[in-house]
Order: sequence, then C-alpha cells, then structure tokens
Amino acid sequence: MREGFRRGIVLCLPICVGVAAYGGVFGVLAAAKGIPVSFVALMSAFVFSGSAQFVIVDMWGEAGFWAILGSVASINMRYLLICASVDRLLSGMSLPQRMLRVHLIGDENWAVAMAARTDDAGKADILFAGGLCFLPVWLAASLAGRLAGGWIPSPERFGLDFAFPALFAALVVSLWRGREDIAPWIVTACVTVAVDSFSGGGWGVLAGGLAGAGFRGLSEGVRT
Amino acid sequence: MTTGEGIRVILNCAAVTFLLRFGGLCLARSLGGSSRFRRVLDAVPASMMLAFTVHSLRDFGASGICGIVVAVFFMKKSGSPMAAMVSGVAVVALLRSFM
Repeated sequence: MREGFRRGIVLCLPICVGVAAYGGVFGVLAAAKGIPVSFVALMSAFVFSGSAQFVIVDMWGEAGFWAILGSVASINMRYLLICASVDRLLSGMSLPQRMLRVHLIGDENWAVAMAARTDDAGKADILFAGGLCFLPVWLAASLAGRLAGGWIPSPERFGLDFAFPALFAALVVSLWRGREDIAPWIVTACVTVAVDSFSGGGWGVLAGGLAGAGFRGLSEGVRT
Repeated sequence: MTTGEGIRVILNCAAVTFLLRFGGLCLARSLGGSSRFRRVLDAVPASMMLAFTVHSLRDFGASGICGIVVAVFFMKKSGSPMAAMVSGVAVVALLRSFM
C-alpha cells in the first residue's frame, strides 16, 4: 500500500464517526418522508453529497423535478471550484481514474488532503483514500438510519452535527500563511455573510470562497 | 412520487453533481495556462474552508461560535485537527445540554 494512501486512511478514519452520524440523520429524515430503502441507497452511492441529499429529501414529494434539480445544482456549485483546485493532483491519470476520483471527492476528504503537508501525489492518495473510507460509511449509515427510522437517538444531542464545521475551522488554521492572508480572509467572511443573508442553498459558500480566492490570487499578481 | 419519477429525480441529481465535479477539472484545464488563474486556484482551499466555517455559524449560533473558538485554540496548541474537532464538538454538546 502506498504511503500516501495509508496516511489518508489514518487521517480520515476518525472523521468517519462524523460521516456516520450525518448519514444516520439523513436516513432518519428519509424514513420520515417515506422514501424507499432502495432510493436511499441509490442516492447515497451516486449523488454522494450530504448537503444536496438533505435538500432532495426536504423537497421530496413537495417540489417539482426542476426545482429539486436547480436546488441540487446551486448547493453543489462549489464542486466546480473544489474540483478545479485538485486538477493538478489528478493530472497524469487516465480518464476513468479521474472520473472515479472526482466522484469520491467530498468536502471532508478534500479539506484533509489539501491541508496535508505533502506533495501533489501524496495529496491525491489522501483524497482517494478518504473517498474510499467515506462512501461505504455514508452508504451504510444512511441505510441504517432509514431502516432504524425513529429508533436512533438524535446525534445533535452529542454535538456530532458540529464535527465538520469544527474540522474545517481547524484546517483553516493549518492553512494560515501569514499576514498576507488577513485581507482575503476578511473578504471571504464578509462576502459569505452578505450572500447568506439574502440567499439560501450553498451560494454564500461559493461566493465567499470565490471572492477570497480571487482577491488573494489577484493581489499576489499585483505584488509580483 | 412514483417509482419512475423518484428514480428520474435521483439519477438526474447524481448526473448534475457529477458534471459539476468533473466540470471543475475541465475548467482548470481550460484556464490552467494562466498564472493568475493558478494563483486563484491555489488560494481556493483556505478560502472555501473559511467560507464553510462562516456559513455554518449561521446554523449553530452562539454555541457554534464558542465551538469554533475552542477548536481553533486546540489546533494552535496541539496541531492536531482531530483534537480540535473533538474539543469543538464537546463544547457544542456541553452548551446544548445547558441551553
């Protein structure tokens, strides 16, 4: 087993607890909406995007086809940026390998890989290992939640729904490069709050992420 | 929703999600020659993770802010994202039990 892959598993296994809790909640909500077990499995395996799946369940049976599709697109628009940022890591791989790897990209394994102090090949291995850890856990947990229905205790009581925000905050700290990050990070925070205040879905994250990265990239260009 | 409609919704949502993921790679390929675009892409991870964090504070409120502060403190002290995550979760769970 390659060192980067092994490291990815070690880094991502503890996060599986949060993924399992989140998947369990998703399954319970799907049970409350009467969504069949087979549909839950189909969604978790092929959509494999927690936030989008919550939106699908929320709108299930109440909204039309295009409304659901549009909401999923807006929530997942961030993947354009996330996957653009990993293109360098996947260069040199065949098309099927790249297609498999992008399907396995989630917010969590992407964050862990990008924050890891290693080369591009190592980051690519961590990204892939994380996806291979999270997909079966997410699938199993969502099915368990769907089958258990209301019998499992609320993970919110134990703060498990806060696992990912806490992890992201910690990883942001590890990506701090110095005082030159202050201005772009203020731009990110302000734009995220501003867009969130008048729009739903994932637009705040996308706009804030794009604004901060754009500001940073362009200001570096001006200095050099 | 009928079985056919349900399958249609799920498969189309899966296709849209995959196209957005793969579209990111294509976007990077088509604009990758530009050094300015490369610098923007290099700044994406920190910027997106910060945006996620700020966005989630809207849902978690005061307990979320406390959890983030503690998680950041533990990250600075220990350098371990796992220790930081666990401490943030513990603070939110503790505050919720009193609120």
